[in-house]
Parts: sequence; C-alpha cells; structure tokens
Amino acid sequence: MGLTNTTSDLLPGTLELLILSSLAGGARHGYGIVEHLRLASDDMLRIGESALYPALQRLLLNGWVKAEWGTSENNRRARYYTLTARGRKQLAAERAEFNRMVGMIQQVLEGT
Amino acid sequence: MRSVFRRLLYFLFRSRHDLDLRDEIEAHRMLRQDALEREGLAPEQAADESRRALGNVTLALEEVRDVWTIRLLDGLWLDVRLAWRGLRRSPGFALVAIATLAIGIGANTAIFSVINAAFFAPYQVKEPERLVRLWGQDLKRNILQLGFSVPKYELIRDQQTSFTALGAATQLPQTLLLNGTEPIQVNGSMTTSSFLDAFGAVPIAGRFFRADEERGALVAVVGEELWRARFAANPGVIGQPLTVDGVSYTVIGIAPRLPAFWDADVWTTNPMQLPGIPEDTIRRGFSYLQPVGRLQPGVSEEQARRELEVLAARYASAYPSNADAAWTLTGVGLRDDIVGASRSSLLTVLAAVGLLLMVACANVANLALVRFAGRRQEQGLRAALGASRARVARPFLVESVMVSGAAAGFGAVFAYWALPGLLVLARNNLPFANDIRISLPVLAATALVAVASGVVIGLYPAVQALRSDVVSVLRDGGRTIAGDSGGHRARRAIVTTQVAVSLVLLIGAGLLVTSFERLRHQDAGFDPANVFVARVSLPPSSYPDSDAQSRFWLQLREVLSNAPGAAHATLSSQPPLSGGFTRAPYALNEGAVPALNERPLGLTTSVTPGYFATLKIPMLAGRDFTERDTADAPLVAIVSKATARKLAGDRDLLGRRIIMGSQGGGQVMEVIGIVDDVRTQSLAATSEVEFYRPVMQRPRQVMTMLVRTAGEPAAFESTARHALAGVDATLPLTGITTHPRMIEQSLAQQRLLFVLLGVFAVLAVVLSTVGIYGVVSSFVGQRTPEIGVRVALGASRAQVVRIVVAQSLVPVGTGLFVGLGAAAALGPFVEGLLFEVSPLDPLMISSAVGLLALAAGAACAIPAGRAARIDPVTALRSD
Repeated sequence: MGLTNTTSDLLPGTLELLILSSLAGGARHGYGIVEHLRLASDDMLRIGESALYPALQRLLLNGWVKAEWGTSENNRRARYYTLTARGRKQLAAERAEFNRMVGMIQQVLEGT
Repeated sequence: MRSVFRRLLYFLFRSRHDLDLRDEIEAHRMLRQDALEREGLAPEQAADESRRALGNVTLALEEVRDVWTIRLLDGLWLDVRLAWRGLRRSPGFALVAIATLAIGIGANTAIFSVINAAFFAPYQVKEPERLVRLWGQDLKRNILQLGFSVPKYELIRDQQTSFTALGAATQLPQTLLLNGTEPIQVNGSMTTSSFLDAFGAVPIAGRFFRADEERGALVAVVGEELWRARFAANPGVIGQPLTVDGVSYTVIGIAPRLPAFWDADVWTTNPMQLPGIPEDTIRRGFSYLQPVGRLQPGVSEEQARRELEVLAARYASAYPSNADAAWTLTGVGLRDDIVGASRSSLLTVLAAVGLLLMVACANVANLALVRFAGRRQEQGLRAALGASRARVARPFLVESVMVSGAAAGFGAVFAYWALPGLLVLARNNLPFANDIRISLPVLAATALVAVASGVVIGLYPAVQALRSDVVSVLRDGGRTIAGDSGGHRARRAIVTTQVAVSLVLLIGAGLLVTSFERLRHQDAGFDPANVFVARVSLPPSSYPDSDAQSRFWLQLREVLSNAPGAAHATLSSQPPLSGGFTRAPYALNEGAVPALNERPLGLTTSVTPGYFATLKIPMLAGRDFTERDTADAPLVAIVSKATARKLAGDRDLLGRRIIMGSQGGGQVMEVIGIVDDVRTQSLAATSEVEFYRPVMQRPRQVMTMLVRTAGEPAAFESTARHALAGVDATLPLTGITTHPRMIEQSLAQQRLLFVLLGVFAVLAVVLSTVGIYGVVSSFVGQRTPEIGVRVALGASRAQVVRIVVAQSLVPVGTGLFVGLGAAAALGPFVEGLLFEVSPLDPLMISSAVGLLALAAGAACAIPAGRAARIDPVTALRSD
C-alpha cells in the first residue's frame, strides 16, 4: 500500500483543515478520522496516525473542537471529537483560505 | 485568552492529561487491530501492523506536550526545583541569607503597617476624601489651629455653597452612669444634628439626630466601641435611658467608630451651649467648635478655601467686635489633618527602614556573589550545552527571589509579633493607632519588596551570566573572570554602599537621640517630680452654678492637702504639658485699649490657691491667690514673666489693671502676682503669654488635681480616691498618672522616632561590619598564595596586615565619604524633627564616622591576623 504521509508532506496547516472537515459530518474518534480521510481520498491520503494527535490537541487548545469519552462501535473506550461553533467558522475560513491559495498557485502556473 | 486559561489547566493536570492521551492512542490502535483482524490477519500480526500504522507515538506525545506547555511556566518550575535543591545543599547560606533578609523585610512590614494606617487605611465613612476640616487662624500671631465660635459657625452654615453638608462637634469628658449606679468616664462629643450625617457615618443600629433635635432634645447616640465594651453589642440598648453627667437621655442609635480623634463614646446635641460658659462669652466669639464639611461634587478643596476667605470677611463685617472677628478661615482635608504633624516623622522612619533593607540586601548579595563564584563552571557547562543566555541567568534570579520570599514570610511573622511592642513605645500617641495592623495591603507591599529585593540580589550573578564567555569559563574552571576575580569589584562596591547607608542612619539616630535628650532636659519652669495627677469632672446637674463648683474645688483641695503623704495640693484647669490649653483675649486696661477683635490671645488657666507652691514655680512678685479671692471679691490675675514684659516692658505690671476674656466685652482685673515662665504647651515651645485666674472667679467644670507627694506619687492613687469619695462619692477619678509620666507622653512621638532609628542604625552597623568582614576574609582566602609568595620573599607581618587593611580602605573610605555627602544632603529634610541640634553637628558627625571606622577596623582585624600568620609553604602548596 502507499507510504504513510507525515504531516511535513502536506502544506502546513492542511492537516488541521482536513480534520475539521472530516468532523463537519458529525463526531468521530481518532481512528474514525483517519479512516474517513483514507476513504474520502480513495485511499491516497494516509496520515501517520499518531501525527493526528498533536493536531487534534492544537484544535482543542484553540477551542475549535471539543472532546468526550464514549464507547466505540466495537465496544471499546474511545474519545469522540466534535466541531464547536467556532470550529465551524474556522473550517469555513480555512477552506476559503485554502481555495484562495490554490487559486493563486494555479494562476501562476497558467501564466507560465 | 481562553487558550491561556486552558494552558494553565493543562499545566496543573499534566500527568493526568498524559495518561488520558496514552489511553486514547492505545484505544485507537486497538480499533486498527480489530479492523485488521476482521480483514483476516492473525492477532499478533494485526497487533504489529497496527503499531506500525500508528507511527512514532513517542514523537507524537512530545509534540502534544509542546502544543500545550507554556514554556515559561515549565522552565520556571524546573528552576524552582533546582533552586530548592541548591539551597538545601548549602543550608548555611540559606539560613544566614533568610535571617538577614527577614530582619530587613520584617522591619519594613512593621513600618508599612504604620504608614498604611496613617495614609491609606480606609475610614468607615462614606467618601472620606470629600471631607474637609475647618480651622480658624490668627495669622498675625501665628496661631494656626483655632476652633469656630457659634456665631461664626452659624454664618458659615447659612451662607456657604461649597459643602453639601456641614457639622460641628466639641469634645469633653463626661460621666456615664452604668446601670444607673456605676460611674465611668467616657469621651463625649456634643455635635450639631447634622454632624454624623455630614461625616458620612451610617448607623449600626437605630438612627442619628434629626434637625429638630439640635436644641437640647434629650437623645443620645452611643459609640461603637463603648457599645461593644459595656453593652455587649446589644441593640436592645436603643430606647433605653442613659444617664450622662447627671442628665437622662434616651438612646436612639449606635454610631460606628469614626477615624482618629473624631470618635466618641457618647454623642449628644446642643453644642451651642457649653455648661459653665456664659452665653455672652459664647456669643462674643469663644471658639470651641470643630467643624467638618463634605465638599459638593465637583468642588475642590482649594475652591472651598477661597469661599471660606470670603465668608471670613463677611463675618468680620457682621460681628466686628467679636474676639474672633479678625481671624482667617481655612480647610484641610480630613486625612491630612489627622496625619498632620506626624507626616515628617513617618516619612523619616520609612526612609530609614528602606535604608536598613538596602544594607540587608547588600549583605545577602555579597553572600550570593561568593556562591556564584563557585558555580561559574556549572553555568559555562549549561551554556555550552545550548541553553540560551536568559535560561542560564534565570536560576540565579529564581533562587534569590525564593530566598527573599522565605525571608518575607518570616519577616512578616516577626513584624506581627513585634507590632504591639512598637505601639507601646508610641504610648498610644499616634492618632491613627487603631488602624495599625498587618492587613492585606501591607502584606502585598511586603511581597513586592521581597520580590524586588530578590531581583536586586540576584541581579549581579544573572547579569554576569548573560555576559559570560563560555570558553574561558570552562577552561580555567571559572576561577578568574577577566578583570574581576571572584566578583571582587562588585563586592567592594557593595561594601561602599553599606558603609554609606550605615553612616547616614548612624548620624540620623545620633541627632535624634541628642535632640530628644536636650528636649527632655529643658527647664520647664516647674518641678514635676513626685507630682500625682488625676482629673475630676463635675456633672452640671449636681453642680449647676459656679458657686457650687468653686466650693467643691476648694473643699477637695483642702482634703487633699491634709491627706497622708501629701505635701502640697492644688487643682488646675490645664496643667503644664498636659496637652490641653485654652486662650483668651487680653489687653492692658490703660490708655487706648484695643477693641476685642484686635486683642491678642494668651494662655489662660484657672487654678486654686497653692498652685505655684505645689509645682514649685517661683513667685517673682506679689502674692498667690487665697480663698478670699471669691466671685464677689475684686477680680484678680497672676501673670507670667513673659506676659509682664510684653505688656509693661521694663516697668512693673504689679498692681495694674488688665482686661481679659470676652464676657461682656472683657473683664477688668488687677495683676496681683508675677511668676516665672512655664513651658505649658510643649517643652520645645518658648514661653508664651500666660495668665492664671482663681477658679472661684473663672469657674471650671473639669479640673486636674496636682499633689506633690512625700513618697512615690503613683502610690497616692488610693489616697486620692478616698479623699474624693469623702467630698462626693458619686464622682469617678480619671486620667490618673504622674506628672513625669505625662511629660513623657508628650514626648512619645520623638521617643518612638529615635528608638526606631537607633535600632535601625545599630542593625545597619552590625550588618555592615559583617559584610566588611566577609569581603576582607574572602580576599585573604583568594590571595593566600600571593601573600605566601610575599612572605616567602621577605615581607614582614606588618606589611601583610597593611596589604589586607588597604584592601578595605578604599571601599570603606569611599563609603564614609558618600555617606557624609548623603547626610549633608538629607540634613534640611530632618531639620524640622530636631531640637536645638543642627543636622550638620560636627561632634555628632565625627563620632559617627569614628564609630564606623572602628567597626570596619574590627572587621578587618581577624582576617588580617589570619593573613599575618600565613605560612608560605602551605600557602603555595595549596594552590
């Protein structure tokens, strides 16, 4: 299978954007986020799974997600993350910013 | 901001957070493992694969920690732990440093509590900063603190616009009958109905006076202190009758404690009529009312003062012949008025205790520097391993702040314990004494001082760390710092500071002691030794007229004179140096007699016969009063020598007539005696004009007995009580003391000042001596090899001693020089506190310099002796 991507392979900050977007659909635990990203990107995007956690902690620190302990599908204890209202605003903002960046790069490329 | 809060929470619950995260990651891995097992992998393989998929968990955990930590807090906590370990390893340093600083900081805490009580303690009234105390002033004669007369107060009250509320009070001792039978002396205050409200007091229970109760309604308010002490704080006392000075009042409320001397035990109204003072005298300007006003919002003190000037002029034109017509009026903020004369003393003490702290810090800094020299290598190593400069410097500051923090803790406890002693020294002569305690603001100030001291002490090592050259430090083990071995330059600078500060304190203390002694030994003009003092107050209900009063006083005097152990007895309305005095307008009744409002004021005392004999005041001419100088007999007066000289110049005043007082425009009387001058007001004040009147002709309700006893005056108390009971058993004897003690009381503030400064000076000298010793001793230790070489090359012991002494000569000498300069510069500021001593008194200065030089010499003696005994062989070998 493909190599696990480390966060340094992505543009800085995109990991957080990806996590936020995957939480837009509802609460997930860490494993669930990883799987969602893998599936949503047709198996192309694989996150070094433990690298997820510093990013999640940063989101917690800034108050964009909140976390609660719960039970997972296979009856194991897991911590579920949910987007907060501020997180939703942050997601929209970061999405817009990302699109703007991509648009800029595209413009440059098309120009040459 | 919320993120900072979350970071703090994380910091507090760090280990728990860590465990939770590990749990979470493990749970994640298990989910992966389950999924892999479902795909068909064997459990062990699934486990391995899941671990691999997880990646570098350790790294992730570290990154998480990085996300959360407040770097600063983490680093500081580490520094604190290191400092704690370091201090435990050198308990000697820790103990000495903490003890030294505890003394310095503790002394500061004690003084802070006094300063806080004086300048900052909140008064328990509404908006006290809007209150202004009104004074009358006779600027021509430089009498600055005069009360208001009734007509003046009424005019101001009716015409002023600067104040929203105005009230006036007059205080007098009164007799309260507890449970209808037990008489006790209380402080009474007769006020206008508006006074308590204007002051901003809120009734603890009940109410204060209504406007219609001002003219003698028989209602009273009880003060908080008396209420708690004698009525068990029972609100049921409201509505009950209370007998004050023989009159029954109904209690209508309880008043909270007012600041300083404004407080009273019993409040009544009708201040416009004083028992025993004729209405005419009151109308003509007898000025006894103490008014207080509450400024209108938006009006400043200055504006109020200007309005008072205008109103004073209006009073002068409305009542031109009144005794107080020519006075100006002014207002002083309430707190300024209360702190008043103590201000310069307080600031002096504050400065002195600050200097003491400086010396203490200097000592500890010295110790810290020695320790620092031994840790240079550790510092170099840390810098070499990549610690930032700030990171290397910080532990020194953390350590010194910890030391000063611990010292502050001990110091505060020490101050708490020593504070009552301090107050006793002041013999309750500070008007704000009730508020002196170790309160929260005081502790906060102490904490600030502690941190500041810690920073100052740790500053030099920290700064040195910032500038350190890592390579050289590591190479030679930190034994030499380029150009400054062992921080010696800094240590010598510290010694200079210590010596300078100690000199300033020593000179200050010496000046104050000398001043105090000179004051105490002033010839007061009378002999206070063996004089028993006590006060008796006659309730107007039992002694309604002057005849009844005079009879009582004369009878009491008779009984006292015949009592066993009494050589002479007399009574006076204001004994010398008792703190109370009244003045009356006077003039020579010959030729062009000045109008009442232009007459100067002179001290006036009512006495019984035998006054001058009792106090051994020499009678220079004429005779004493006798029992024949009654109210019906011709009016007479005795004057002091200064008075005679002022009124008559070189010619004799005896037998001539003067006009005194304001009753009926003044009473004409004959001068029948001239006595020597007496320092009535204070030991420092030169003689004022003073008149004596027989109490039969100038009746008084309250008199003080003065009995010259054969033996110890304090033992006369029971005899005095017995004598009083023989004349009237219902009257209490109060204010019992001896004249010497009373004089001491009048000097209480000066005494407190010089004791405090003396203690600080001694402590500073001791600390400085220790500091000098430390520096010279370490110098000898460091230079032992060099000295060994010199001795080996033939230097004599004397030469070695000279080298050692020369080391300390420069810093000590410089310190003395700087100290002299500082003392000279500060001289003008303390001049006001001194009596007949110049701040530049050469004898004082040379003694102080000599003492310090001696102390410095003694400090050098031991290390010098040690140096002289250095054996060159061992010295060179030990290198």
